Parts: sequence; C-alpha cells; structure tokens
Amino acid sequence: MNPLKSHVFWFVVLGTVIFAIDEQTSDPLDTIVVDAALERQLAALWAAQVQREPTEEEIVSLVDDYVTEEIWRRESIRLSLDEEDEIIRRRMIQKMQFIAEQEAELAPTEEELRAYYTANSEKYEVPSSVSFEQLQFQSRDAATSALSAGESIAGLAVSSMQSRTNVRQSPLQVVSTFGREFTLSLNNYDVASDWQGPIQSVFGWHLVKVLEKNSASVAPFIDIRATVLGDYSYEARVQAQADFIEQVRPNYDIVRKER
Amino acid sequence: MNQRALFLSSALLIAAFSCGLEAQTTDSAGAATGVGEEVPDSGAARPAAPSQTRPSLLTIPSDIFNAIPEKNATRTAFFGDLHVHTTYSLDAFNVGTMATPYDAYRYASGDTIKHPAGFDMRLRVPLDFYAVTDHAMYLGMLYEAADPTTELNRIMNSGYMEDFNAPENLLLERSGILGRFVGDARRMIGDGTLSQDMVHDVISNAWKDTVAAAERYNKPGEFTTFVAYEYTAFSGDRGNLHRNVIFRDADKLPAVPFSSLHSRNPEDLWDWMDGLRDEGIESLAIPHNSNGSNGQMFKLVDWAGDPLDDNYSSQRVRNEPLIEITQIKGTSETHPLLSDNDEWADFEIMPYRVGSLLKSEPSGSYAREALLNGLSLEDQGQTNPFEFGFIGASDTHTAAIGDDETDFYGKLGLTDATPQQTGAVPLSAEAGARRLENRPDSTKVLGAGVYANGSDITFGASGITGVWAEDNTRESIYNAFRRKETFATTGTRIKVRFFGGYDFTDETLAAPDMLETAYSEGVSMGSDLLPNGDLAPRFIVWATQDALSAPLQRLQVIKGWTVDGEPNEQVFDVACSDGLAVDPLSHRCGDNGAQVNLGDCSISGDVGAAELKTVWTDPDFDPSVRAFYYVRVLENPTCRWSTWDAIREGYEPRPDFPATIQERAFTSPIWYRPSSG
Repeated sequence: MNPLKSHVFWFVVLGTVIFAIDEQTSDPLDTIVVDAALERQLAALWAAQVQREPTEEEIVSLVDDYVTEEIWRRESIRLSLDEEDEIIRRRMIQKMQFIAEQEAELAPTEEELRAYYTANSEKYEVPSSVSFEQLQFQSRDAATSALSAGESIAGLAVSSMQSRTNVRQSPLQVVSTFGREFTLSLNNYDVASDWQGPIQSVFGWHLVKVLEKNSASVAPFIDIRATVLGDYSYEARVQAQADFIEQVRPNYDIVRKER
Repeated sequence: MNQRALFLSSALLIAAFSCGLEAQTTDSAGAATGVGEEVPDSGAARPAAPSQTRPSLLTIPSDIFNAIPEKNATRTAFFGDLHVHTTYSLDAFNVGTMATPYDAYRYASGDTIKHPAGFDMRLRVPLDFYAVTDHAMYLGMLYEAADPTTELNRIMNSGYMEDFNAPENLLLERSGILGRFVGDARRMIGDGTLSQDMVHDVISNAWKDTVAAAERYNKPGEFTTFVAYEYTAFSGDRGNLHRNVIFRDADKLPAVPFSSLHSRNPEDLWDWMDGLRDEGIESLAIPHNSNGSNGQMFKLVDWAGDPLDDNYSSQRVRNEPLIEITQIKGTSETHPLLSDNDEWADFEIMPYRVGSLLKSEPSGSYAREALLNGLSLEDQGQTNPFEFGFIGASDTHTAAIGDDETDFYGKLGLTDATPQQTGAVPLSAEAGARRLENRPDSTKVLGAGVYANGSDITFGASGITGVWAEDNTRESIYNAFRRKETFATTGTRIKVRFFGGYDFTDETLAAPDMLETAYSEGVSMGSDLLPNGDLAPRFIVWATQDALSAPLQRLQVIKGWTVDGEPNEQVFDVACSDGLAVDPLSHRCGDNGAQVNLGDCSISGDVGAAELKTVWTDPDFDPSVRAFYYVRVLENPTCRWSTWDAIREGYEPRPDFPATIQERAFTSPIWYRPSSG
C-alpha cells in the first residue's frame, strides 16, 4: 500500500505538525483565555438547555462558572491526576483506537462485502437437517416384527414422549432429543416411504421413516447481509488497530529493566 | 462417558452426519426431479403410466410430505422463552445492547447474533417460540435520547450519553447513566419540558416496531412469536412487582402498553387488561422474580393494605394464570427457610431485592408458599388468588438467552460479560484493590483473591418454558398457557408429562394408547381433579432427559395441603434411576452415586436414566382435604456455570457457592378439592 494514500500516515504526519505548532502558540497552563467565541459557545449550550437566549448577566455568570471549572481542571493536571486515572487512560486509549479505526470504517462496497461473505462462508453455514417420523417399541424384537404389520404398525408402538413427526431437525437437535447413537443410525437411512429400522435411542428401540434430507448449505447473502456487514466492520476495526500499532510502534523504544 | 467427551463425539458425529447427507443429496437428485414431475397432479388420480413403462428403478412414494405437521391431539412439547429484553429496554441499552427485537427472533430461530462485548451467541438447539418483553416504562427512550440527531436528544440535553453504544464508547462508565436519565425524564415530563405527546410518540414508535418484528418472524407451524412487554413496578420498599404481559393476537393491540408510569399498582394493570378483553384483545400477565419482591408478590393484602376479597382474587386469577418460577435472577419455587424438609429447596437462591443488595424477605416471595396460602383462603370460604401454573424464562438483556451452564454470559451485557465481573474468578490485583476501596459491600476476599460479590454470582443459567400444545401456533400455545398445561425447566430440554385420574394402572402406562387414555380419563398438569367418592387419585408421572445434558436421577411429586387452613407440604420421590427403590418411610430414592469431576466437569457415564415413568398414588390421601400436587424432575448433578468459568480460567470454584447443581423441571400443579359440604 502506498503510504501517501494512508489516512493513518497523514494522521501521524499532521499530528506531528500540529503538535509542533501547538507547542509554540498555545496558552500556558496559568492563562485562561475568555473570548467572544467562547462566550458564543457557552451561550448556545445554555440556550439548548433552557430554550431561550441568555441575558448579559447570565453570560457573565456562565463565563465565571467556566473559569472556575477550568481552574479545577488545570489544578488537577498540575497534580498529574489525569495520568493516574484509569478511566481517563482508558478513555484516551479508546479515542485513539477510534481514530485509528476511522480508516477502516469506510463502508465496504457491495463487491467487497460479497467477497468477504464468500471467503468466510463457513461462518454462515446453515446446518444439515432431516425430517422423519419415528415410532418407539418395547423391544428390538417388537420393532422388527412391527415392520411387517402394514397399516396397523402405530398400534404396536408404545407411547413415546418424543414427537412422531420431526421436521427439519439439525443433527444437534436430533442428538438432544434421541441421543448420539440414534442420530448416527438415522443417517444411514435414505429417504423412503417405508418404515426402516430398528434403531436404538437412549429411550429404547424405534422404527423410522425418513421424509426429507437437506445437506448443510450457506445462508443466501441477501438474507444475512446485515450480519455479514457487522462481521466485516468488526474485523476491519480490529485490523485497523493492528495496522496502526504496527506503523507507530517503531517510534518507541521499549526499555525493559531488570527488577 | 464424560461431558467433554460427549461434546467431542457429538461434534464428530455431526461432521459425519453432514458428509453423509451431502452424498445422499447427490444420489437422490435424479429421484427428486422424478418425484417433482409427479407431485403437481397427484392426489386421488395420480397417473400410473410412468411407473408401468419404467418399472422397478425407483418406487415413487405415495405419501406427500407436509412440512407443516398436523395438529397432534395428544399434544407435543414446545420450548420457548417469554422474557427477553432488547435495545428498546432502557436498562438493556444501558449495558450496551444494540440487538433489536428482529435480532432476538433471528437468534431464537437459530441465527448467530453478537453480544455487546463482541463475541458471537448462538443456541445449540433453536427454540420453538419467543416473546420480546421490553420494559414499557420509557420504552425506546434511552435508545432515542442517545441518538444525537433526534429531537428527544436535543430537548433532554443528553450529551452525557450521546452515541453511548458506539464502538468507541463501550468502555464508558455505565453506572449512574440510567439513574440520571430516569431522573431527568421524570422531572422534564413533570415540568412540561418534555411534552406528553413527545413521550407518547417515542414509546408508540418503539412499540409498533416491536409488533412488526413479532409479525415478521411468526411462522405458523414452525416458529411462534408473541407480542409482549414487561410491566415494571416496584412496591415502596423496592419489592419487585414485575409482570410480563403476553398478547394472544397481533391484529388489534393498544397504541401503547400500560406501564408503571401510568400506575405502580398491579390491580390497575388488571383493570386495563380486563378493559382490553372487553374489546376483544386477549392477554395474560406473568409475574416474575417473586423471590426479589421482599414478600410483596404473594402478600395476603391488596395494594391498599386491605385483606384479599373475592373481587381481587378472581381478577388476579383471570389475568395471571401463570408465574415465572425460574430465571437468571434465581429460582422462586421455595426457600430453605420456608421448606425445611425439602433437601432440594436450597437451589439457585437469589437473596436480594431486584436491582439492589437489600435482602428480600422469603415469606410472600416464593411459589409453593403462595399455593398453600391459596388453599388456606379456600378453607376460609374465599376465592383462591394463587391458582397458577409454572413457566421458566431467562430475562436476558442481550436479546439472547443464557441457559447453558457450560457457556453462560450472564444477562447484563457489558456489565457481566466476563468471569471477573460476575465474581466466578478473582479480579486482577489492581482492579481488586480498587473495588475493595470503592465498592466494599459487593466485594469479597476469599483466600488470596478479591472477588466481585454483587448479585451476579447468585444468578443461574436458567430457564425455559415448556408447553404441551397441538401445534406450534399462537393459538395452540396461548391456549396451553390458559390451560396451564405448561412446565418450567432450569435451562435444559427435559420433557415431562403429568396426569391425574382414578383408573390409571401399570397397564395404562404400557399401552400404545396411553396418552389418549390419560387425556380422556384424567386431567393434565394445570387442571382441577374432581373427587371420585373416597378414591385416592392416581397420577401418571413421566419424564425424559435432554441428551445434551445429564441423565435423570429421580422424579418427585410435591404435595401441599391444608387442614383447617394450616399449611403442610411433603416431597415424595416417586421414581428412581438405576433400578433403585423408594424407601416407603422416608419417601426417598437410594443414592445412585452420580459424581462430577470438578477438575474438568465430566460426569459419571454409567448412572442415571434417559426416561422415568410411573403411576403414583398418594399414600396419605385424605378425600376431605384440599391439596395440590406438582412434579419436580431432577437430573444427575452437573457443574454450575461458575465452576465452568473457574476451570477455564485456571481457578478453584468459589467455596461459598455450590460447585454443582441439579438441573430440574417443574410442572404446573394439579389441584384436588373435596366435594363441598
């Protein structure tokens, strides 16, 4: 990547320039400047809150309050309270990270988003599913002999807590309901109009009729675009932070001292 | 087999299963085309020609597979959650939640959504129904006020929380914001700075969007949503009086939900619901966290402090047929101080008033005692105000439920996203020292570690609502709520049936038409069982395990009865795993020896039952005495969520909380009442 096209590059360059200028022109810590711009700003804030313009007297009072607050703030800086405060430290880190992320926050084009979706398709996988009927029997033998019972097969089954018809169940759903062994056995049967089995579950012996099988697939982009965009933005932000650190870290000497 | 091995093998199994299915699909692609040509003009007169000219290669199935299951007369168990908060709840927004009601419904049907802290949340097994229940009080207002482009933001001057949940602001201190917002809003509504119209508009827009989300994801036969909200009232002593209001339909609804801004008195809520019912809008209210009510939820006086009369009781029963017996903020079945002969009473007790660290008085706060008080009132010739069934729910504030002990992320977004925040593991040295200084009341030193010790550590990874319904539609599931044919679990998908009658025998249990018999000759959970001479009732008690959790250890019947108004209760074990017998004197199963390895949370693989089933008769039955009976199903012990977290982070589980729990299910009660006279 050409560094001249990088926002971060220009951020660092401009930051250095501004810092240099600021060093020479800004007011020292013990000077509090009150000018018309400040007065306008305080008056506008006040108006937003109270729903009318402040009077002259009120502006004087607002400025007094501002000056008092500034004195508090600067006294705290004199004591370096800003440097020891974890909340301020975290807040500054967050603000800097946010600035670093700005580069990545440029919304992706539709093509970029689709490319990301394609490259990460495993994240958007819809699990395979199976639809089937099941009947439960007293024993393996009872199940086997029921296979030849024709229409009256349901009359030979025991009452099962589990539904006879199970529609579009993921493998984990089948495991949750019938256990692992049943799920594995069920997979061995093809879609058919006949009862098949017997197969064993955690509850006993079953016959099954497999109605439909759907293999795992990737959810259509159009259905999950919002999710993809969320994932893209999240990864882009993390990447932007890493890029920024990579660029500025050479500017620092890390001195490790033995204890 | 231990639990970790179970997960591993499940994962391998799924991989195998998926591969198999792909091969399968390729094989049957041609067949599918053939069938497709036949189906459109099938029915009674399906052309026979193709199978005659091209015999024996493929048999064309004569059945037509209907993706929407037919109504099941003996009913199917459906699982759901009726207590879910999204970004429109002020306290969910406050903890970073940006998930909408739409996201909530996507999550419940199996999609992945993000936790405010950035990680993915996905259900292991999707749910069948879901109800978003955002707080009606200030519904959507924090969301709106934090948006710098809105009028509400400008009027409330809410710069202190501008873009509060933007990524760069997620680490801002969150305590104090909610209180400041509510204080400002209350004052500004009071002095007219914030107009009634403005508040009404913001709330009604959020409400309309909530309804639209429910309508969008409701798919009869597959997935059911309910239009719902939470009524969030407190008594004067910070006793929790919260209720979730669930609407049966979505075609005709109030413009805004009745909230505690309208009235803090739940009797006014019932008046409002009665009024809506007269206009054809049917709803019910489900109280929750009675455990945190400081004795207010089931107290024996009304809002004005007068004794309960028949008007109060019939109105309460009409509007509140169910209560939430378990959720993340603890289980409200009973308390060890109320049920000293119940060895399982000390389960996920959350001892505080909701949203505080003030202790909550147990009496008046738990379901079993309230059921007993209801019978006592009947003994005195009064209407029973506490004739309720049970449901379980999460009360999540991230739109995604937290019911999995192995992966529990609390319910309060950014404020309980890590094991350090919940108190499952010690804080870092620096954070621990700071917390000891700033918040000593909710900090605890255990051994060498400093732990967060707020209410979060008393939370549980719970719960789920089970219903027995003919099909997965609003109508059938709502009717099950009204029948109280519901059960609650502490998060796992235990299924449980419970019938009362007089003719049930072991043969009934083994017969193929057992369920038809049970429904035609008996009553199901949630019902009244009428007397039959002096005969003792016989109960069918039947449960199956969640194969992704632990096997079952025992089935219990909890009996409550009153003699001349005096309450009594007894826990009966009625079926035991591993061929163990119930001791006829103690009414307890023998010990099945189930163990948990606290090094890795693996459990004994060779004990417990996938299914337990029995016909039980009350050995102490007295036909002249009022009684209720409900079933409690207990799994073998497993690790509590805090133990899973401790192990993952390399610590011992906290010594002051149980390392293991027994996941459980509760059915709605069956009531027995003697003939009058």
